Amino acid sequence: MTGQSSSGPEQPTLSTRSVGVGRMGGSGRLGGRDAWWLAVRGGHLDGLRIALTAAASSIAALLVLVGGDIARRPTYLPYLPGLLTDRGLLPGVLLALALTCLPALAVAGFATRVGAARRSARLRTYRLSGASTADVRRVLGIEGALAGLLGVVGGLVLYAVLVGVIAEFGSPAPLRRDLVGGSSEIVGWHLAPAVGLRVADLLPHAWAIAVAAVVVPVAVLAAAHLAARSVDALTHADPPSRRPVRLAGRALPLLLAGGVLAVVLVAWIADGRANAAGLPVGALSVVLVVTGLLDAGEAAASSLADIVAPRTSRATVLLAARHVQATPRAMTRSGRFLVIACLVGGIAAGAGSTTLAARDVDVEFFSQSYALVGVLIAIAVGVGALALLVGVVEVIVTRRRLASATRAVGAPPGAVGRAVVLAAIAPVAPAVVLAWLAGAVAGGSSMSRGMGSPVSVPWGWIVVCGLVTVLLLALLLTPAFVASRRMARVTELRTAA
Amino acid sequence: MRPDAGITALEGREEHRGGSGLALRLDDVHVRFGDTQALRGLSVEVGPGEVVAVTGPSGSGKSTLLLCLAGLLVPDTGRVTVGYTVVSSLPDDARTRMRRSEIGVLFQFGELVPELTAVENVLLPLLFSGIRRPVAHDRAMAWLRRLRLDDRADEQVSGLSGGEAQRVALARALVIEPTVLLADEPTGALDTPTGQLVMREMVDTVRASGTTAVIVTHESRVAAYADREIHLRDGAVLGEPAVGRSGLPGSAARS
Repeated sequence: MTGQSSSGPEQPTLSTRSVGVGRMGGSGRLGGRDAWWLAVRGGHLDGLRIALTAAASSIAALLVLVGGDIARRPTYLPYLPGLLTDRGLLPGVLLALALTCLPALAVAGFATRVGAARRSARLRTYRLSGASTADVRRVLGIEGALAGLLGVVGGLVLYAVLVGVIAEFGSPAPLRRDLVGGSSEIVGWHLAPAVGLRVADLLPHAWAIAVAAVVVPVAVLAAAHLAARSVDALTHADPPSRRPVRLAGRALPLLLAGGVLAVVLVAWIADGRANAAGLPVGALSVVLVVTGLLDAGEAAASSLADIVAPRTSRATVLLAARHVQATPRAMTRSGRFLVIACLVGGIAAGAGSTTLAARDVDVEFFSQSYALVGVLIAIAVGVGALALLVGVVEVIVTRRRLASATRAVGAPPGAVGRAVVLAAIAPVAPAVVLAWLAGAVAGGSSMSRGMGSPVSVPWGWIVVCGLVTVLLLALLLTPAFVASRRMARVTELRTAA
Repeated sequence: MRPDAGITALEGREEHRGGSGLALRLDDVHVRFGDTQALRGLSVEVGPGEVVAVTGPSGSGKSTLLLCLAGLLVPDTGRVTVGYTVVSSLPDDARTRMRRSEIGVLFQFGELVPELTAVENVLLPLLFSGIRRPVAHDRAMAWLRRLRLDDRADEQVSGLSGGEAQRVALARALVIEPTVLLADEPTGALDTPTGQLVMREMVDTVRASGTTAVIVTHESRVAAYADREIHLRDGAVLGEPAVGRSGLPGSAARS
């Protein structure tokens, strides 16, 4: 059979197993086996949620395992040979890895909400069948724990693959040029063979495994617990309003406010006062600039949608434009990590370029440091793009019914998915490019003032980074679009939304 | 009537073979969902311009039949023909193209796109067919005028009443000028007076345009608008009650 799943409509059913008071036994509480069964019973959407959560957890677990390796063997690193030779950089690298874990775990937290509306309906059914709120929390907790443990296993697999690839093909290593005075600078990269990699190196450190096995599931459980607060089967809260929010009237003020805020803060940072105020103010500035950039991106996309929607002859563009107008924040919320990563990346690029252009600096140390920062920024950008992917999948899942309806009226498969991806990229892409540019200017200016050297912004490099990020987004969102082609289930239209 | 597999609704309806041809035909169609046999050897013929009601209890296979006719579900075995095209043997993209030109579908809950205006919902299938926006807009407005909804054209879906939304969905199904309209419980989500209004609009419109219509319903009041009723039970045809039962709106309209 084609065109529709042969298993029929995906509906939660309790017909084959009771969840009622009878199952609670004498304790009046849902048994562990039953809670497990209910946690994994939900069908494709719950499988997708668990898979996404596990994928994000895997990245966090991988970072923990790599961090454990770096802490254990700082002198021998198969990952970036010849880059982490300065022991003084080690604490910074470990801290950066730990910080990069946070967005990965946050993405896992986002992922625990994918398909929340459908899950709420299923959990409501459990409640009506006699399950208590504690039972429902237990079901959610088991689902979160399962995803977290799968994430740890996934992290171990990724680690093995990473080390295996390094053993087979080598790893990126810097090309250095000797300078006068005995030091050197990095002038490029090449693939260096992993000489002396032993079988024991394929195994991560036992402590790192232990930390990953505890930290990742606990974090995912905490995220699942937070996500459970929005489950109406627990709170009896009304479902969120679907009333569309039109941005047309406030597009221009928002654009102006976001733009002005971004410029003022960039100038403020560039003036060097952020350095004096310390890390919290700097971090706050980054958040405010990101918010400003995202607001500007939203407003620009919404204004563009206002112009395009009444005129376009392309159905996908019409759906995307109206979606952007109705829910302007749907995508930028999950694009926040990406924009933060790009802004920090831009700051690092500007600061690094200006530092290395200055006279009387330890070129070897700084080029090594900024190269390491670059590697971490690349990881952070990947995690940020994953966050956006989770956001897109969530929107595609919530629009599954619409996808089914449009299929029935002759839309090609994936039309709604294409519209969602377009609506996701439209507001985030300009914010990403602006973040790289604003960050580079701020980083370069700030470092220039601090070091008394001329500003050096690597414009070509920044433009490449911006374009590569947008390309990465497009590549990463392609699976979401492909998955959306299989999402339509017309039989679902026979029941009320 | 025998409720077992293989019973057909063809008996006595040979006049639809040949001549003007058939609008729709199902030959020995079987559909299974896991352990459930949704359709068991179903054979049905519908002539051009005919309005047929498909009735039966819940789970009898009514909606599955409709999905097969719409090309949204390909049967495990058997053949589904719309006009001269065997839909069940077409690849997915060809079936999609067919829905853009030949088959209009109307659902119980309208299934309009919430962010779009009424007129944008109606013109959406035309845009999927590659028709330019101004032309599509004019055609959509013509259908809204015909259904006396032109003053609601720029209204968001959330601002429409249930009956208006269903009539907009009807306009969306008919804007492609299909040869076949398939309606799945078109009044199921509406109160009785509004449901009757929608049914009258729908039947008047399809009769005026000579469109063949298959209406899935469990309401005898709705079935009475049809020329013929096919009653399903357990995935097979149970019987065909006499045309136009007296006292019901369908017989009045037809007389």
